[in-house]
Amino acid sequence: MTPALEATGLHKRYRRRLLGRAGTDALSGVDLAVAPGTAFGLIGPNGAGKTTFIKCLLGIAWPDRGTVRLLGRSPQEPAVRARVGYLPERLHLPGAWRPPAFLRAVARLKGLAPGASELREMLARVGLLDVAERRIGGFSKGMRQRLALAAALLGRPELLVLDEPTDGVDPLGRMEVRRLLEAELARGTTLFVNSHLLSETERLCQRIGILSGGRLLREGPLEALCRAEAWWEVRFAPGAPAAALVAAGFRPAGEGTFRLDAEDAAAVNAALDRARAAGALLVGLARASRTLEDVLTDALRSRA
Amino acid sequence: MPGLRRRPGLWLLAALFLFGIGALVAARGCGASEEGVRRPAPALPRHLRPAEARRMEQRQVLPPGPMPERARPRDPVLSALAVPDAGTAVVFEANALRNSPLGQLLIACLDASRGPDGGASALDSIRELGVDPLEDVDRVAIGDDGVVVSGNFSRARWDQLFAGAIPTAYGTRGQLFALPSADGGSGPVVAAWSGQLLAVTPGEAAARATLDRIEGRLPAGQVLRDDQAYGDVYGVVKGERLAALVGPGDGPLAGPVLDAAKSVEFHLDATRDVGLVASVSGDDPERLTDLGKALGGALSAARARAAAAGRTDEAQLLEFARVVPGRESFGLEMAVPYEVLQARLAHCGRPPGPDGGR
Amino acid sequence: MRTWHVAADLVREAAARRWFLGLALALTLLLLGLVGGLRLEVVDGALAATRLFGRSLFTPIRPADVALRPVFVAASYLTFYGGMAFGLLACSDFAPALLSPGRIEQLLALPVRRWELLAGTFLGVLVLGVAGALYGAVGLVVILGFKTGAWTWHPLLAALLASVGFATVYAGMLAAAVFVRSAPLSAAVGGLLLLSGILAGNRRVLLATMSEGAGRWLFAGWTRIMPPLSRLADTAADVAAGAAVVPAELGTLVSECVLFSAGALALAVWRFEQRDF
Repeated sequence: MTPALEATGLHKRYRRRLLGRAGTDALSGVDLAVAPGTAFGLIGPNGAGKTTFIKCLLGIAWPDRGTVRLLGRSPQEPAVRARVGYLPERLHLPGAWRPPAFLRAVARLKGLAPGASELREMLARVGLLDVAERRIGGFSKGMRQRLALAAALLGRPELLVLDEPTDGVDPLGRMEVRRLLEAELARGTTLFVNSHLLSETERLCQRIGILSGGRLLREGPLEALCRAEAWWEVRFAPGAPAAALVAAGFRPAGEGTFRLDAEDAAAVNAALDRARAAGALLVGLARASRTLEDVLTDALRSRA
Repeated sequence: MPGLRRRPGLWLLAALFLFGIGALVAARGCGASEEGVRRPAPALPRHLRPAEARRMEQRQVLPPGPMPERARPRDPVLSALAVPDAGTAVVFEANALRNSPLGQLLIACLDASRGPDGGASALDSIRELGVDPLEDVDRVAIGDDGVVVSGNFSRARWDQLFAGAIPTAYGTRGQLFALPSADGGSGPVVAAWSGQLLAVTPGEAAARATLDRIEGRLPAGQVLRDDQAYGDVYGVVKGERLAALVGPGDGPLAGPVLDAAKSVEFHLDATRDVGLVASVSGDDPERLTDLGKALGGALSAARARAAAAGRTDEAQLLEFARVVPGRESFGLEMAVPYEVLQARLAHCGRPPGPDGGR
Repeated sequence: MRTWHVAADLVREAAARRWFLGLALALTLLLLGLVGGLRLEVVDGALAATRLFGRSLFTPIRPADVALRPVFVAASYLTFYGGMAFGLLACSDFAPALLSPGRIEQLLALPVRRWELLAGTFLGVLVLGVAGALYGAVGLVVILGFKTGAWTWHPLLAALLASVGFATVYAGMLAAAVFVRSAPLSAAVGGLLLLSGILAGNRRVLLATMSEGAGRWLFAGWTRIMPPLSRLADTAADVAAGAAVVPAELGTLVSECVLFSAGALALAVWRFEQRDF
């Protein structure tokens, strides 16, 4: 199956010609493929090269080496870009226009001719129908973000590239946006998301990539990345013999809670048997895993 | 990498190519002049110009006359014309005219008036009398008392010039030549002054008065002032003289002209094109205004008729005609481009062929 | 072609800007002022009297169409140079705005070729220039035509020639903006091109005053490439007055302008195609 998005050996250096000094390596050999119909989240610290990567994907910036494919074709082909929706990190919308006029202008450039009702429906999807007659210049940041998302969704693109899609959007709005994107995902659209909101990325994306210093440090399914290290949280009734519990493999985690590192259910039960044999009374048991933040922190630390 | 980036170098080549072609087009220019020299507008003599002011001063060789208001050096020709209460004074600057493009065209026509056998022209006949019209004559003026000619007449053969009339000395440097009339009575009298001025007058009294005015023994009128002496032809026509020029039967405008106009001052310039400026003044500003509008309308209508009839030359000439309204007078300006004159006089000036034809 | 959509969007955006609203308002007020305040008395086809807001203007009485020629000539020069100056200031930020962060990324991600964005911007500004020039010219011709009965379409041609001149300068401004995204710099380049065009129109006279050397060589080369805009202005004025114009000369002038504009646009596209945003 042709990946919806594929980058091979992508290099990009920003040169400083005037000062004559060596430039900055924004991307240093990035290899990435995103399967169609999936949601991929790209995370990393500031200056990692995420936005540069996205620009190279879409032909906004020229990579120095490597290849890029969107939906199996070069991003330089206008016909391919017609099947891609893009929400840039920085927005510059015409302040004197009204939302329907702006969407109509974007649609025309995409080769579409939506009717007024279609535009209203799109505005309703992003929650802007009530302000459709207001000029964009009076919009809040969140409202502008929603309008730009609506523009990206025009024409039912097969691939959505979203750079900070919920930046400036209130919590309720973020929920709506997430539902909207989930609906697109369910429709078969491929999502490529760059977001600093790790919680949002966790909820939406199935695969994650961690970019730092122009290199892809980690890449894979979210579950696999977060559950590489899983443990159990165990609570015993007060009075449990601490030394016996430690000997049984339980590490104190504060306030009567213990942590047990066990690979499978048999190991968990064996440890619990040892604890009960020492006189401990089990009152609580829960499986715990790392958050995406933990994964990111870990990856960055290991790179350093 | 080659697959990622198009060939932007082709655009640079295209840019250089286009700039190069543009430079080539500019260099070739299809024969166009680089500064696009435009034909200057016809010169219209609206006021005394510096060269004419110098000319005027150079001609003021006479000492101030007897009247207090004329306590300035005087021009002999203007003094000769200044008959009290005169109605007419027209001066032709013959020297300037013959050196103008129009003058050259006319001279060529005159030269071409030689007979089929290449015989003597009218000019040659006058030259034999000791006066070369193209070299010796400076100005020719027409006034109430006759014609005044100024120039260099030191070589003139007076006896042949005036049909054997015996000169009589008059005044300091004057001479009178009484010419016989056809019926044997007294005819015109020519007053000659200082070998540089001839005045052809109706009779002896007028001739003596002319010399008296020149030499300051008689007060002069003021028909043409010094500051009105500009252009290649200039003059004033007023009062009854004007009425005599414009008869009631001379078109629909004759009546309004006679009613409103009391004096016409005109100036003509022939430096290259021929430009005419005339100032019509009168006593009734309202009638003058109406006359000006009527005249402007007539010129415009004439142009429209000429254009409709296909007379493009005439229509183009009338484009240069305009009436300039004023409070107590109005101006009429017209111009004839040199090219039109050249075309109209093209039949003149061609050297006769072997058979005397053209 | 998407070029026209880009141009149409630019025109729509300009319509909302104060510069252009102000120009439209000013032109309209001027024309309305002429309608209401100008009284012309025409006698047998001659313009006999002129009154502006009740005050008599002592103008010569001559055929109406001849009398209107100086008006059309003055309007032609005003449109050419005044329109050029206005355009330099009012249009200098269209290209920088196109290239502004946020907007250019969104546009480049759309199925629009890079050169189409530049061509559309140029065309949009050209449409604005033509519309502004023609609005004033048509208004003047119609008002004076109704008042005098003298109708002519020559001032419209002159307005189009003024638009050609402006297009030449704007192509250079657009190229400058692609190299350095700055509205003031773009306007400054436009001013320099206008000045160059005036100097190019007096090339021979100026070269005669210059001594041999690199400076003369550079001036000769640059003014050979730069269209003689002052001559174009003079020719436009001649056209407005209905004077005879040699077609070959006019064709040469227009060709020089078109070639320079195309060259500047090609240069802009060359740079634009290579740039990262």
